[in-house]
Amino acid sequence: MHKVNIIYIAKVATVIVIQLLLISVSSALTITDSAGNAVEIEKAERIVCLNGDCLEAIIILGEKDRIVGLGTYALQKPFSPNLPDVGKWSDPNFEAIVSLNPDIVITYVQWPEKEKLEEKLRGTGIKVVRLDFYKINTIFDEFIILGKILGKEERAREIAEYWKSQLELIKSRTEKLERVKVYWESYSEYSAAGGGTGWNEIILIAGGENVFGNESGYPKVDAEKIIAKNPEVLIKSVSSSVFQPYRANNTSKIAEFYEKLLSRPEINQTQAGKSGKVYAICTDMLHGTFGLIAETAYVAKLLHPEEFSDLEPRELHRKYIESLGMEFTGIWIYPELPAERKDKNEKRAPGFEAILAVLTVAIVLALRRKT
Amino acid sequence: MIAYKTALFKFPLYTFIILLPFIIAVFSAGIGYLRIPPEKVAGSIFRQIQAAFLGYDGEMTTTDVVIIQIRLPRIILAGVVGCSLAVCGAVLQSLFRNPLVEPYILGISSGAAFGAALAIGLGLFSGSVQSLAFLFGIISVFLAYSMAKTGGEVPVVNLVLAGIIVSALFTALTSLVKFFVDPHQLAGIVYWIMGSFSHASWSSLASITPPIIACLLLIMAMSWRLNVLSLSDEEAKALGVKVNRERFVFLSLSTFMTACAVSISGIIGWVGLLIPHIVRLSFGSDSRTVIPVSASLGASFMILADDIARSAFSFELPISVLTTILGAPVFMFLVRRRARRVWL
Repeated sequence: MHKVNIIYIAKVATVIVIQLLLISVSSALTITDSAGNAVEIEKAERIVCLNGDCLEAIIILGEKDRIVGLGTYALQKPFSPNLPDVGKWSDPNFEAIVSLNPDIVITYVQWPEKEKLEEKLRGTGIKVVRLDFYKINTIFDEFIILGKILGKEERAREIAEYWKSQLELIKSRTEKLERVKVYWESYSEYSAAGGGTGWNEIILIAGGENVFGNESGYPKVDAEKIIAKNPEVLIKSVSSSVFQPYRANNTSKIAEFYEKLLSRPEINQTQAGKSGKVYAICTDMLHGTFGLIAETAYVAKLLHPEEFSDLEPRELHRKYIESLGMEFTGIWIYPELPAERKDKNEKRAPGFEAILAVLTVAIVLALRRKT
Repeated sequence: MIAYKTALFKFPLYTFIILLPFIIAVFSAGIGYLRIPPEKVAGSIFRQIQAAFLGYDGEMTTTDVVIIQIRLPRIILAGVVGCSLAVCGAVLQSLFRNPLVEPYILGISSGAAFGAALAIGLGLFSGSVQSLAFLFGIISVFLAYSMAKTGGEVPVVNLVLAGIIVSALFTALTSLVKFFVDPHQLAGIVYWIMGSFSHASWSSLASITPPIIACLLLIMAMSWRLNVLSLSDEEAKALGVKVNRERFVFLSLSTFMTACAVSISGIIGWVGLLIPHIVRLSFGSDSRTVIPVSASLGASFMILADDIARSAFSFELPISVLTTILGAPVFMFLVRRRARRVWL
């Protein structure tokens, strides 16, 4: 009996050891994406990104070279590599994806529907990972999941921790502050950012109260309702075609746009208009991945200038844009924030002081000679 | 020609109908999301008139701004647009001898939608949306008309077919633009196509009201010819009317009116079909009556519909949805009651 038992145990043990060895050798990683699907990932050397947000995330992690195909809108981003087009993120071209022979496809949680993607890709061995990268509440976890997939978990944690700490800093202060009433208008005139939108989320974190937060989506409002809601701050989203933020010194187009905005009859009747707290913001290179935190910082500063006098949203924005491999130039918010103006004066000041110093020295010397 | 007699008998009724939009407009100035009591409404309007004539120049209060800068232009725009769509519908129904014709039959709405989509999609200069919508509205009707023209004649059937073709073409082109633009601009295009008066301002009114009123007066002055045109082509010719030329004149006038209206307010359906129809069912089909009564009722109806659109909820309802929901039951009631009456 004893002998049999020992042999049996030995057999079982060897089987377990072999199995363990096999698992460690194949090293298949199983992650749970934001849609709640468990995805087994064997390798992630060739990646297709259906949207600009996951493209940003991968670039920030420094793994741009693994991307082999991009969605149509992602290709329009100024930092986008030149790669084959796989169609819109909402309706991708299945054949284009398969022909690129990728290991994984990364897409949003909601779009495209399963029937349009997973079910078509079944049997091809291509894995679909659903991660949003545009929601401030889930972005940090998603970034770490991406790190695991790309085998750079530690770096991903480091980056996510940095941005999370910046966000926590803002949150910890705004929680105690009185809420400021905000009207945030999206790209179309009189189309408000309502509840459930990314901008609503940002207003809340930045210590504001969205005056149209009770309506969902992007409700159409009119001048009279804006007066009735009487916002204390007005923020207008402007696309980069109007803002031209990459042209550092050309403000003529945005200034003209801003003048037109102010000439709308309701603006001057609101608290925001009367106190001059009407801002145009270019959200094209801000409203994605960690740009969301820079955006939140800008908004927090707009809403609570005194409490956030030490916060430099522009520095966060710079960090974000530079992490995408681009140069940070231009004007992204108009009129510029008070601290930024001070910043410029300081930069100008040394030159001015130097000229003054040279002049005084020259005058003193001239006077000495005469005497 | 019974209308001659009825016109005399119904004089007080007609006076009331003509004044109706103005009465509704005055009451509408007091309706809105902000509650402003009637005496304050009257006060701001009075002060504004005083300012215009006596040069009184004071600070405008919030109430003044809401009444003068926001509500009044919007109410007047709704009235002008409702009036032009209804008149255009009435003219085209006579011209096509068909009660199911609406102002958009020759593709003007699809053309205008394409123009607007193009302007929004390309992000052109400010005001380009209105100009391109107007331009393409006119172009689409011109295309349909030249397509329908065969050997100097412009038969009605050809016009209807050409209208369908042009509509289909521009609808496809609009879809193409929608497909290529990014989602922010897509929202703008969708909003524009749904129609709205929220962009109303005195300056937009100043650009469209004079041409619309001019067209309206011309159509009214020539409305007796419309009666002749609603006969068959042979009968009209026998009466000595140059059918093709007259048809061209009326088409141009009504197209111009609709293009003006659509370029500012977007596409608002149903009014151009509903109002002339109701008028014909209740007042007979003499164009000399139908045109002014349609103008007046169209304006009144649109102002009322917009009152609901802008004040019922804290967001704005699409005006096209409202015109249909309000109009359909009225229409159904009238059609059922007067079912036996012969049309035209």
